[in-house]
Amino acid sequence: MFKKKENTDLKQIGIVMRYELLKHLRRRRLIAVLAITLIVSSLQLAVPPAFNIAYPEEPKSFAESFLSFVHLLVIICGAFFAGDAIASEFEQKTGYILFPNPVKRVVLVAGKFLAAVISVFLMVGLYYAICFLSILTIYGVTLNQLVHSFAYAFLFLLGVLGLTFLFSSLLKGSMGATLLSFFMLFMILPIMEGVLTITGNEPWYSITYSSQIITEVINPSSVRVEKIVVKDSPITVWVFHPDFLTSTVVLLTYFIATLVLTLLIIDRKEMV
Amino acid sequence: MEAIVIEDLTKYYGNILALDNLNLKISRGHCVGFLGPNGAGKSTTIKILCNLIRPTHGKAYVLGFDVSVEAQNALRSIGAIVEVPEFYLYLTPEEMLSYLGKLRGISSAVLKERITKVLELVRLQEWVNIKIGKFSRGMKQRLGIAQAILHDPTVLILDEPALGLDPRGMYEIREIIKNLVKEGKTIFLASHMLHEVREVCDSVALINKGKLIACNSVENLEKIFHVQQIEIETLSPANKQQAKKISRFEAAKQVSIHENKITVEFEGNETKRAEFLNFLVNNVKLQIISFRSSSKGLEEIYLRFVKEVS
Repeated sequence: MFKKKENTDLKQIGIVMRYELLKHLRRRRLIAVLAITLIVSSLQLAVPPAFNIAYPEEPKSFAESFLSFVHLLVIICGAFFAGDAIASEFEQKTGYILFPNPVKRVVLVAGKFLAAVISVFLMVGLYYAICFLSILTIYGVTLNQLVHSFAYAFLFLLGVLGLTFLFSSLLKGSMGATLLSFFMLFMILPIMEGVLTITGNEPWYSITYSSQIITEVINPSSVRVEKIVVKDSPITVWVFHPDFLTSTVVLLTYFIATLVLTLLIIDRKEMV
Repeated sequence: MEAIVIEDLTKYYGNILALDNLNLKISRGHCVGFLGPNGAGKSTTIKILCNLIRPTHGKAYVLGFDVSVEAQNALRSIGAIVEVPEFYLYLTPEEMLSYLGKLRGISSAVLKERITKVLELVRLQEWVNIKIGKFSRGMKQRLGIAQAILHDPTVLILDEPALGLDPRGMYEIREIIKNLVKEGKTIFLASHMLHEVREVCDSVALINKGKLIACNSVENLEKIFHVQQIEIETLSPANKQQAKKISRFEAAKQVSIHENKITVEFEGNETKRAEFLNFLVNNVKLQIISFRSSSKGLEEIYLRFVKEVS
């Protein structure tokens, strides 16, 4: 018999996180997302000169256009790094090896969540770094708004990962969880927002609507709501600009609520 | 102190009753075979003991800790194989064991030694740096044994540990379990391989339809059911006179001879068996090649019990 140290929850979270990061590395998901990030950045920078189109005159307009991809990047990363985080333990039956260890399930979720946050943070951080350097090279200026935008992008990634973890804990299959989170964030919620906007209702409670503050902060609109009446037509077009405080609270709420729900579900979930 | 205590354990899966007020006690240092047909509730019991599922009613204790309430304390002393073990295919055995060892708080220096030792024990030392994705089922089973004993647990809960192994692998696993018993570990072994149970366990718990139907030492059960069998192999077939003499031995209840093989339904303890062997050599004048208790006795008990309850 040899001595074993009492592991603290914090230490165990660190161990789970390290091995989860190793998983992302070994399964080449980090590399795949890195490739997507680099390809999209390169296209954003190379396509206009290739077609003799000038970059926008204002660095803010350039930043707005460049950062419009951040939403999709976060959603892709969420699906890649979090979709199977929990579901796979049940689906692949690796839980039979992992769960009979003296580790709280909350600790396992926390470690996996942190690994996903780090992975997405690195990719989004890289994209922002490319944006920052591009603006500095093309316009010779730095934009303070990029820092704010990055902070909002971080809040969005927390919310997206929370939601994806929730689906991963609810569903039996990794593929189902991954696809559900991707389509929910990429299609279902944006369609719902579109319908609500047409009817003149601001979808302030939607995570994807709130995430618009990522680009909105670069060049904030002076009005919150724009009502455009089309001449000689019964159609009224509504344009809503998300409120920063409300959107911040919404993104934080998504993150906290989904993570708490995930923890409650995973603590009760049985490895049948 | 009891190593495992199961009290009125009941488990429903929806409307299906998987465990029906199961009660069982396993003392420290004992190796108990857990037998029952498919769907009898063996895996459900094991999963409850490993905190993978929760009982609908009743309690399960490991070394005094309620598994549902003080899971971490209970799991600290448990090493387990549940169903067919699946691992992270992108890791090597060394990385996998290192992950589990670190989670259990084993220091790096000790962990390195332990990993080398357990991988040697299950004969995976040459595969230490190969990704588990390339492993066969039998190799994963061996790794399952390695992870179960990595932290030198006091209680081992093994669900079909020899499943998917070749005969040599089965033999090696039996030897590992025997050594663990010698070291004083408590072993709860669910298996369909009755000869394996007969060889390594000192007692068996029989379960059917979620209910415990018997729990006793193998010898006592065989005595109760008069089903102890002894298989004797001789150099040349026994003749009629020799057969008659064998039948006259008090404890030999039924004798059947087939070529060089004699099967005796026997009733008696170890001393009686020794006497019988002496009798066969000195009185019957048989040239004996082998003399051993057969697992058919346990098989007979198992079949009778399952049949009776059904």
